[in-house]
Amino acid sequence: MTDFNQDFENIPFMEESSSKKKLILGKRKLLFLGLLFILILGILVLLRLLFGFKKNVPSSPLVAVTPTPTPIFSEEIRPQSLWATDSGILKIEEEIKNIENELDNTDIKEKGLMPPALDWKIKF
Amino acid sequence: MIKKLALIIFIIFLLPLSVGAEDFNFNRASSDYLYNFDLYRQAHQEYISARDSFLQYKTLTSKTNAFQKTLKMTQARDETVRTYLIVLRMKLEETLGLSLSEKNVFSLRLDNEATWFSNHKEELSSAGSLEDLVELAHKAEERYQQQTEVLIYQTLHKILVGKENNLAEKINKQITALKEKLREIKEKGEDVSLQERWLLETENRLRRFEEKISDSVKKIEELEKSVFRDRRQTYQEAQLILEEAHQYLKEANRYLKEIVRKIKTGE
Repeated sequence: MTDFNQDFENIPFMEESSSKKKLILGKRKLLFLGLLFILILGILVLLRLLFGFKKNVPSSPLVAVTPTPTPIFSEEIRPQSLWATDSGILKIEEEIKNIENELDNTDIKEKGLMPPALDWKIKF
Repeated sequence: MIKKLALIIFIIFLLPLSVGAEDFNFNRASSDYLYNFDLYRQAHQEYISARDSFLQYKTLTSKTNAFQKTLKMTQARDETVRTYLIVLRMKLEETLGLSLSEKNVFSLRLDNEATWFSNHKEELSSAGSLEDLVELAHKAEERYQQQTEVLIYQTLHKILVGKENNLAEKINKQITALKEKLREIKEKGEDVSLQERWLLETENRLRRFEEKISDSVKKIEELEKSVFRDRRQTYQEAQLILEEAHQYLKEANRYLKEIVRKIKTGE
């Protein structure tokens, strides 16, 4: 026969109360951790919202983002009239181009020709 | 024998002179002027130093030194003005768009001024004292302010007007050529009414150009009327009007360019 030689009466009562205490402390801790988790989550959500908003605000409102235009490599071909190869017209065209160059390069100030700065006041 | 001798004399003495005259152009005149202006600047520094020394010590040595340096400076000044006037004369000769009579009148006036300063330079050497030298130097100042300066700005203005007139003349030639061409195109039954309208616009721009040139000439005439006006300022105002005239020429030429494009493309 199994001998139940255990003294139930002497089972320390304190152990039970300490585990309860531990449980109470664990609950508090859990509550604290939960609150901390919610707080961190809240901060993260706030940060996300903040940065997300910032991203939506354009850094420079004056610069309009436009799609990159596709380069056109073929030259625009305009219809040519019968006069396009006329020697008289071609000569006039060349003369006008020469005049244009002359107009752009003509010095109409001639600063290099301005009179020299001389001292005319001789005093003793 | 005499003919041969004359030919030898011509080759030895006269030919090099004529070649030298041909070589003397605006660039050569500019080099001469810049060289003399540089000499003047050096002489002026020495004059300032000698004058300060004399005013401070009042000794006979410092006075003699001041006299020498003043003489050197005033002579260099005369030479600078003379060579500068020759630069203007050369530029005027090379400028297109001026009539021969206009060039002759201005060249003569410039030559007269250059001769005056050349003579004055010689006259300065005759000064016996510092006081005499100062008095003689004042003559150059008077001459420059009363006549030379006015002539300088008038010549500069004339050169600019000549340049503008030359460009306007070239545009006018193209207008005439285009008119003839448009007539030819019209005879073939094509519509050239738009090109004709643009041609009228070109002529309008040229009319405005001429008005501006006239305004500028009036402005430069003020130089002789008023002694107290700032001549440089008056010249700059006249030059600014010429810039406006230049813009009209550019516009006129743009119209011509467009007319040719229209004729060529037929759009």
